[in-house]
Amino acid sequence: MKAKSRFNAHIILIVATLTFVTGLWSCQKVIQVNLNSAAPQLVIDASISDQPGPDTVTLSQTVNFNQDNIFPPVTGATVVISDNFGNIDTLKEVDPGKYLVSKMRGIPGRTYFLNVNVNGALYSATSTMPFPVPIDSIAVEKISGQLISNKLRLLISFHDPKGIENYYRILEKILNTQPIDGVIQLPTLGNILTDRLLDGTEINYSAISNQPKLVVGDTVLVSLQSVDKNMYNYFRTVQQNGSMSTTLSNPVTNLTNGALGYFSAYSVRTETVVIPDF
Amino acid sequence: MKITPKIIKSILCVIVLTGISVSAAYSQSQNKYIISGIVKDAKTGETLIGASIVIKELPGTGVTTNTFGFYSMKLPEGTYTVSTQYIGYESKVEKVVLNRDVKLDFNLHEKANELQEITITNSRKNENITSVQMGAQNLNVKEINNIPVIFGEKDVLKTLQLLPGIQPVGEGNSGFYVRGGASDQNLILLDGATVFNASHLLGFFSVFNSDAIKDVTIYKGDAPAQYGGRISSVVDIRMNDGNDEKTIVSGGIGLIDSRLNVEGPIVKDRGSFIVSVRRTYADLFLKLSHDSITKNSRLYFYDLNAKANYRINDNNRIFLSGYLGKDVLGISSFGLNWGNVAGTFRWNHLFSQQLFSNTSLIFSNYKDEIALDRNNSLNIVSKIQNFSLQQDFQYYINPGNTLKFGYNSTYYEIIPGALTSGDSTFNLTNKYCWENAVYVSNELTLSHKLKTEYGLRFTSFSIIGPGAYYTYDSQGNTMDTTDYAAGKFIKTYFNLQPRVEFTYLLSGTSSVKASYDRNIQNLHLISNSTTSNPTSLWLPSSNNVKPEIADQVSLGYYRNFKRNKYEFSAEIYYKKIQNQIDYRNGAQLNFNENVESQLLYGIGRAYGIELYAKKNVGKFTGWLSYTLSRAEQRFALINDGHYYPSTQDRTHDISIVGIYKVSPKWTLSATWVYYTGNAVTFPSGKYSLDGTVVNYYTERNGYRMPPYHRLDLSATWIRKKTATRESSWTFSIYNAYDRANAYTITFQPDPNNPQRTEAIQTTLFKIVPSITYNFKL
Repeated sequence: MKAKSRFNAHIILIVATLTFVTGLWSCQKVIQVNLNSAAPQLVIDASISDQPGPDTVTLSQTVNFNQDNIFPPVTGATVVISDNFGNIDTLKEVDPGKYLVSKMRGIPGRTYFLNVNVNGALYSATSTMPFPVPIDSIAVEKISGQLISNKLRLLISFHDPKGIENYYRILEKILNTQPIDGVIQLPTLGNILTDRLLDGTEINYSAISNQPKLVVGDTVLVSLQSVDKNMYNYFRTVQQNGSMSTTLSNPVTNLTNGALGYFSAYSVRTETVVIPDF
Repeated sequence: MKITPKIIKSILCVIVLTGISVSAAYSQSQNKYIISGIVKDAKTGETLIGASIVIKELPGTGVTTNTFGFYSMKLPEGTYTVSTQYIGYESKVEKVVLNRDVKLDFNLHEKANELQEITITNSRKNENITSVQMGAQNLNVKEINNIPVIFGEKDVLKTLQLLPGIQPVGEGNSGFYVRGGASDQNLILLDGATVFNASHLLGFFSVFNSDAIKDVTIYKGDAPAQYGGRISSVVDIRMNDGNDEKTIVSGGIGLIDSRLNVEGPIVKDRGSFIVSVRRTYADLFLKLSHDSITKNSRLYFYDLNAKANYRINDNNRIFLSGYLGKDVLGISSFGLNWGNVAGTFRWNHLFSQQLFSNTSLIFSNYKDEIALDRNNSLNIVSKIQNFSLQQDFQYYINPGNTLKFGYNSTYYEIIPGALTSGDSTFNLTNKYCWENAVYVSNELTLSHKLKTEYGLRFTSFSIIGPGAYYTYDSQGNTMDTTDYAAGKFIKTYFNLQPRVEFTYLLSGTSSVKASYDRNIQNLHLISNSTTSNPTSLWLPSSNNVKPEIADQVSLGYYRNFKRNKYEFSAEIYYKKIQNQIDYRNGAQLNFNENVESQLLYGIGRAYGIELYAKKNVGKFTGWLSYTLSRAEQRFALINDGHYYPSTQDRTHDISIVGIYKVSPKWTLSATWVYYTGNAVTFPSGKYSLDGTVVNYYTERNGYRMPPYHRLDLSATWIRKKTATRESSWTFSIYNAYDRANAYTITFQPDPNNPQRTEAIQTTLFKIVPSITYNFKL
């Protein structure tokens, strides 16, 4: 069975239709919104993978929406990662707010624990590393139509292991040192996928949104992360924040004590592809 | 209160006995006879709903026709002057010698030219003052013809939004909020059949083709006892019966769609039919595009209304009505289509001149289908349908005492999601429900000044196997699963819904009214989208989801001026809602077997004041409506358990409608609306994650969209009008001063400066001119 894309694809369709139907009359503009200021909150961006890292834990703070994107690092914290086999790594702060995993390499199937102490306030999280799933192939597809700005997209194929719940996070990164045709690559959080309805099948995944604009000659690195269910929910709820939802909220995190961000133990397999000239 | 069958029985007994004892008190003295009949349009044979019948010799004695144009009153023997009145029609007066039961039908003529109506006949309709019903608004579809609308497409649901207490969901949207209730809390009935999704084209049009519609009544919570199932309002839409005098073809051609309407007699004066069709043709223009995706896109809707009726004899009349509508959207490999199908068979029967019966067999279905179709197809269908038997009796004991009673039994089948991909299928658990209701209500004139209507509706709602049912912990994790066999009753809810209203006439031109009512809702629309979404799911009450319960009290003052030339009303209401539904942060509602785990249950409250002033007759007519209101809700897990504004909370809401008849050929009209922006969630901060910027939210619905306002203008030119033929042009401008109203506001990184984030406002419709040609052959 072949199946593509996420099930909320119809939302994309609806938005596309709205844009299309009303294209004659609708318009967009940047406006000034008077937003409240919010007390700074701790943000934990932590992960451990089955690949030689370096894996890091980044601690920072939120800023008000109208400020510049300069996020104050949280320094001097105690950050400890341990696993259910009794291994412990106390992370060293290598840059302000950046703590390096040095003694540990993730092993699929193990459960990892994160403990953070910031001036006496304790935060923790647990994540179990799933087994990796290799990418079988990556095809490059040409698509046409005014509605889709990307004229090229990637079709990523892999075999979903049968009988277990798998959650994937797929990231694409253009490796060129110089942008080709002046196209700027914006960082994205990638796309997510569950095998809830596709268990044990060959999955051909074509990323429609969040994907950088591809041009001929680009070298693209595709990462297929196997993440746990909490991470799937985290990235699912991050993505909802762009839509016309009445339940906009901070993503559902596995961190305790009100910290923002996540702790993910994931395994990953990667492939590269060069965009051919058709 | 614990409701036992005994209590119900006693309450029903009291109501019936009150009715009978009052009737006994009236009928002691002399001989009494019944005068009854039908009020119709003389030209088309359409029955007129809500026409008033007044007896000149007995001031204060009068009745109005029911939804089938029928009236009945029992009076002492004597000679009477009976007159009937209906808006837009010439009054008619008949002398009657009542020494036996009399059948008296009225055929009313439309007013030839309202411009000549300089002096007003002595007793114009003052129903708004005298009727016991409050919180209700009636729209005669003929009245709305001149109100400007987007793309020139007349729309009854959008016109309703110009009335106090009824507010649009959003720009150009046919969805609406009534008195702080969500849009799924409105019961929309088309000839008695529930319409589960009243939106075409994602809400820009309603499914009601106004060519096919005769009459629309909205009850803002104080609905009579025969209605039930939603807690905010009832919109009762009645289709035209069709002209039983001659065959008429009419229609219209607009920028977006065309309409055609054919009606005529089946047997002259005995039976008639009407068929109305409408289709949009935006997709035809897509074919002209050079872009292959655009060219192969599909985008249209159509609908078909059909109705036939036949009068077997004076005591029996049957009706068959149906609706079929569908929307089709498709771009590239994605497809989405949805639509309603509804059918009603009715039998009106007079058991006696005093006892009117209406029996309806009703079917209604709503289905949506998502197709992702490129190499292999993937297809998800969801559906809700019901079969219903409704029996209503109206017993006209005497002009001051009407008893209504009946029952309803409805069977629901809900397919929340059935996925097919190649050979494999995957189904969410189907839901089967059975809802039963009995009701009784009594409208009673207690004195010349005091009237009351009180009633009781008793409902049961059962969810029936087969299927897997789950229990969840407070975090929404599945605790336990139970599989039920087919036909097994999983959970049944019993509810009593009392209601009472009083009208006290202060004078001939003013009154005060008060009411209390309780309503129950057992079907809940699950959608966390701010716009109309055709794939939203109807979820029944279950072991987890409890019935939503609304209690409302309201108080109103009504005053007419200058012989009913001007109407004024002020109503205040307070509503409390139990078991209100909202969603967990980041709720996953799409194709989720455990969707109930994503729900939160809380309480809600809504209150406000509605002011309404209307000018009924003359060259210049129109109205002004203002609503000041608040709608809030409270959930333990949202905003630390504090009350917060509901999405539909609107502080101020103003509508002004003006229609000016310049000459017999030209009519100008304008509407202006203003309302406070919806309560929304905006980020208060941001943070960095994996090199991207993520929004930080501090509370739900803590911000407001900017205020919305808009002016629409319209001019109608009647090119030709003869007794049989008519043609006209309507020119309209939507959003005449080109206001950029906010449809959405999104917060995102600034593409030109990675160090900044920005707020983007999307405006859906700026100025939109349109032109429509209407004809009648």
